Amino acid sequence: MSNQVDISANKPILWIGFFVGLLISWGMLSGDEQGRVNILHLVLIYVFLPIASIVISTIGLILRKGINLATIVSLIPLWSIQQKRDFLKRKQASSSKLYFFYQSQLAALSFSFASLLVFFILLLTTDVNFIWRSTVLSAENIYPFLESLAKPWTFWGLAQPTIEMLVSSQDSRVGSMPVIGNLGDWWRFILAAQLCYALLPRFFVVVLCRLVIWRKSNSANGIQLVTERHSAIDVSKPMAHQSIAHDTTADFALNNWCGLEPTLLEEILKGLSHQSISELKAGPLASFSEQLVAERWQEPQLLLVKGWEPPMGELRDFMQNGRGYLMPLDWDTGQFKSLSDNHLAEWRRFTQVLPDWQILQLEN
Amino acid sequence: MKMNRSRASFAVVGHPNKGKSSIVSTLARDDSVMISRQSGTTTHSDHYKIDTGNAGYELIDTPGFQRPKKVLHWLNQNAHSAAQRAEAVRKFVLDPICAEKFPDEVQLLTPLVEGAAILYVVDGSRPYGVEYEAEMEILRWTGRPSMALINPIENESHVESWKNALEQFFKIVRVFNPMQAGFSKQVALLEAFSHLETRWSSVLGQVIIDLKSHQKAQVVQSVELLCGLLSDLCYYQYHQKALTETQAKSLKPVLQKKYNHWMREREQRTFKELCELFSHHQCVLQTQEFDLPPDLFDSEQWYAWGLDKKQLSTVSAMTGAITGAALDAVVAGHSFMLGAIGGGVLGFTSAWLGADKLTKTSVKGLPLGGYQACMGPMRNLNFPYVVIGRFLFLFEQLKNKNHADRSSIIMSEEVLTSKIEQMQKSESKALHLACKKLIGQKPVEDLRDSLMALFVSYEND
Repeated sequence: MSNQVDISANKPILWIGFFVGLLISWGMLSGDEQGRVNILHLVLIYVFLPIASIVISTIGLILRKGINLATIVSLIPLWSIQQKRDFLKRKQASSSKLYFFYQSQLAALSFSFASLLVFFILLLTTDVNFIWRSTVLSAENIYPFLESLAKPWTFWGLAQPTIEMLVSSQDSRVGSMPVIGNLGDWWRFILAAQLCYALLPRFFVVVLCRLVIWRKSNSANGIQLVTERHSAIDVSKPMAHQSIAHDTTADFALNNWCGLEPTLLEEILKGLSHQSISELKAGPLASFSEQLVAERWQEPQLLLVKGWEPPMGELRDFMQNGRGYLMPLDWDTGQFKSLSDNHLAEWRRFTQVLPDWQILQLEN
Repeated sequence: MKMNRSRASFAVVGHPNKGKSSIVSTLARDDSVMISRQSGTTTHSDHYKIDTGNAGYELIDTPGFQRPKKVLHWLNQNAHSAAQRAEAVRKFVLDPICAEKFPDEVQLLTPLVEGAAILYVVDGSRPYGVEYEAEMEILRWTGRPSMALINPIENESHVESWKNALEQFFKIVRVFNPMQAGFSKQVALLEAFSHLETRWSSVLGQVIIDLKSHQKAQVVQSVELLCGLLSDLCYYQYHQKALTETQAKSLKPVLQKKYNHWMREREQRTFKELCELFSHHQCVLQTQEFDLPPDLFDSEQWYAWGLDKKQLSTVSAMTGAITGAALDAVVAGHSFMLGAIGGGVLGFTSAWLGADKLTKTSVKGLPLGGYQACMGPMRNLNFPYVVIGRFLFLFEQLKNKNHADRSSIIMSEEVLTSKIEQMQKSESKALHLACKKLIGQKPVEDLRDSLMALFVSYEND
């Protein structure tokens, strides 16, 4: 349905997120010729940037037009005609804000994955030396901040910053300072920071966004019809082509099943070449004993029924024991009407399995 | 099968071919319910659970009575007082001999024994007959809350005589034509249902609330569908690359065919979605194709490496600016960003001026540029109105079409002029602007609101 938000990832936006993550992380983590990487820059990229982008895009989603990475990316004039048309269409949809927000989160998630990938590759293949530099800040100033950042993973002791590590990793561009500790020890802290502030919150936002989309789609479903069918309606049954008689060929017993009024009854009998030799009473209006007599009757009979009523089981049961003519009739306010084609077809279908009976219809 | 007693459940019973399935289809608001013109073809009860989101109820389409007189005779033999009647019906339903002799009655009475209420359907266009009394008597024996529905299949000439008879057997009697009853009548019927059994009144009340909100949601979703359709049809462009301008021009008939085919298919898809939205799954549409303007072909557009002139110039400008910025960095900012600015300008200008030469250049036999034959996008201001008109026509038809009505819809265009005149000036102006933006290939953020105003004026009409 139209108001359901597309949850498939927009691949170009996803790849842009991935490549930006790859490039930035590579640029940041490859460091200088001595492999020195500024921890504070990493904190900026892996902690502040993800948090700020989540906050900005969420505020944008709630309050404003929905400014986020995907919306900005869609404005780049390099997209193909098809992609441009797709973006135009999406911007017009009621779910556009949510769609672009969701795509941004996916792109940011792929940014984080790319960053982690680069981080692991560089840790495995080079010696990354994590240092920090500052003109105005000392290790004592920075430590409480880093310590509070590391609060979510206190259970991981090796990933906690220490004042000793900070002091030993302070660097200056004017002459190199003596290395006291292992500058690579910071990797656990950086990894934990990435997982805790970039990957997990983003993953949480993506899941939340999908949940919102799922609820929105569900609420749009409206009325649902659940059917438990047990019957097999066979509408393809071939119609009978049994011939229709227009007159009687022998005398008969009249069976007024439908309770036709005497004046109309007389009219019918006048139109027939043969006459009624006896009167039977069966059907809904007959008493039990009258019904029994009629059921035992073996001679031909003329059975009058309401043509507009569908043939019922009671009539079929009765007809299976006798023979003769079945005359479906249609009348209203004391006047005969011609039987409709639909009704006649229904009666012809009914008598198809009753070979001892023939449908009778007077020509006038 | 044992039914959930807390769920409101209604067994639609009666003579064969009196519109029971039609009533179920209309009330369920779904045309998946099978309707047969042949009688006696349904031999088992069909259960339809209608889930409206926050509530729901069940309709049971049953086979028609076939041997009511004999069944009543059996019941009379098995119940000697009024106190035993309901039990006799239960016994009848459970008796294997009865199941063999009276399969239809066993099927139709089973849901009633399990707790469903009765909706007894008769044809009000035909005279009342005493033969109906046996089946009404059987239903009375079940002791279940009951309502009679007079379905005037052909006309209403015998409704009064039916009313007089039915009121003696049923607590509530209503006239309900499943082919014509509008939404308000359907809601009124559901309200009447809630009076049958007090414990179901809250759930049926919620069903009514859900149905009303669902109807509003259908309008919103229809607008949404129209937005998508308009965007797609107005923005669509079919293009193919060619080496020379002559080649590009020769592609016109092929492109035109493909473009027209896509446009038609797209419209049909939306129409189908609209039918689905209104649960008219089997609805047959007889559509007329819309006339597309002839001036949609263009072969002048230039391309190179898959980029058009504007894109190529942008890329060149960006590349020039980055290179210039690198130079600025080398001289530590002493160039006052002139490198970046100059590089950008130089990149843009050279790409813009030299682009045409690229079409004639080739590297190892592979051309760097060429021509592009394009069909579309739509530039005719009248076109969005045509699309809206056709869509609104179908919307109106589906909105008023009952689900029991299986006739096809012959599509036409709705004349919008009068509808637009009914809108407020600001609204019609907004709609006009939205259409103008659409054919100008610009995003229209307020398209939904503009269309909604049109739909609202339609609703009020």
